[in-house]
Amino acid sequence: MSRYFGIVVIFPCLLIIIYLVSFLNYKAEARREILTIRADAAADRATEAALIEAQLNAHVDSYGTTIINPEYSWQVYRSVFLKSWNTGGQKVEAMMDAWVPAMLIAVNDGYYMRMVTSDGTTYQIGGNPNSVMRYRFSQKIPYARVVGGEYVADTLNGSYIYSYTQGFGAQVRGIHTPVDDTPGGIHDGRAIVGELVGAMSYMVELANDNNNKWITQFYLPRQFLDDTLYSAVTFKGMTVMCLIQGFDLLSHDKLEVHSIAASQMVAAKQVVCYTRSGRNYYAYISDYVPGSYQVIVSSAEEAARLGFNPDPLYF
Amino acid sequence: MTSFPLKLVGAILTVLLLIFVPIVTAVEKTDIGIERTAWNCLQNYTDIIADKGRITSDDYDKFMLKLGSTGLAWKVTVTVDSRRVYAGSVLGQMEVRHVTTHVYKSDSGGILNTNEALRKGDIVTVSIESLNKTAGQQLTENILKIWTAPSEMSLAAMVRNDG
Repeated sequence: MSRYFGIVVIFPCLLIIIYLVSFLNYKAEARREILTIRADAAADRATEAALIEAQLNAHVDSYGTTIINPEYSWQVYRSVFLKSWNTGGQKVEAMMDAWVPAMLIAVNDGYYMRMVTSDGTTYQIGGNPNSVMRYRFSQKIPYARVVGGEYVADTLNGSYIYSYTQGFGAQVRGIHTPVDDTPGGIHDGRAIVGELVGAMSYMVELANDNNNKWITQFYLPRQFLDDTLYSAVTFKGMTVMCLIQGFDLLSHDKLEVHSIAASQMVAAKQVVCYTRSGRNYYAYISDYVPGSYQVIVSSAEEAARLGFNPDPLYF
Repeated sequence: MTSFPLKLVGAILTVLLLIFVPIVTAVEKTDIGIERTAWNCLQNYTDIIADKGRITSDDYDKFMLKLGSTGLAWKVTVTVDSRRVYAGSVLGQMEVRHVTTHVYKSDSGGILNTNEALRKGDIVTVSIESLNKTAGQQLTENILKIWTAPSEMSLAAMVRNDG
């Protein structure tokens, strides 16, 4: 009787153990899934924020070159991402610096790469070299290729400036020439995108070379490269591509997300610049109570560059 | 007589398998559903503010209503960091800063009679925190005596259009 009952007891015990193990596994999976969804959403919005910031602070100089301050975009990216986890502070920001091995901001006529660099070499007592690695943005790299012996500087919107070499310099020969968008042609959209994707891979490679711990090595999946390539070909404006890999701040699980954001043109909004009480201020023309002004510009950034600050009456 | 302890164990196992296990499974599944629903509401509301460039009482009320469908009470905080562009130290340069200008908290009245226009480039952050515990959390705390943290989520986005 007792032997029979023993078997009857063992069976439900096993059932309960199996149930507990599978249920805990299911719960952990569900938790990981929601964290990944949150990380994806945070990264998408951060990338989009970086793009909007790049759009807002971009300006075109007298040579027709698009200039942005990519560091502002990075700061906004980091800030928006960390706000989504309700955290911040210098320590977390420093951690986050190393979590983003590849960030690229592509403008009309070139791109900026955020990559790991050595911040000089210092010598400790005993003579051991100690270099500090940090991430910073490159200068703008033009979409330059050689086609038929000529240097071609492509632009994302289809027009291009092409030139020929003259000694060490390149001379501009024409702008806004009709587009020949055939593969390998004078304006090859895929060549630009290929260059951007290559730059992303290079940044990851560089970060891995400077990172000896195998557990924190970065990995750029093939699917992301293909998706990026596929979707980026249709871009007609500014683009931000980003790869983030690290440990999420809640469960210490490893997370990997990649996001991409693209934009078109930004509508200008007129800004009035004026002097009040001996100080230089600016305000949007729609807010400004009619009065005397010095100049009207097309953005707050332009007003700031002219030495005007936001008027506390309107901001 | 010797079979009495085994009978007791058998009875306990029966209770566990037939009552406790199905209850815990159902409750935990509901908890996961609550978390997903709350996250979807949070994401939608953040995107509504970012797209419209406006914080309105109407949108807030709808958001609170949807959030209430989870069966929990939530503390909601909406924070706006406005983008300010200042002149740089040198002519031709500029400096971008984000300054916290608005904080709306549900426990201080929330967003009442408000139609606040935001500007493109401002950062809006919506945070939610559950004020009471789910059934699953209560079971864990009362039976297993393990403290569980309240559900807490945030999402930030940059305003996409002028309001």
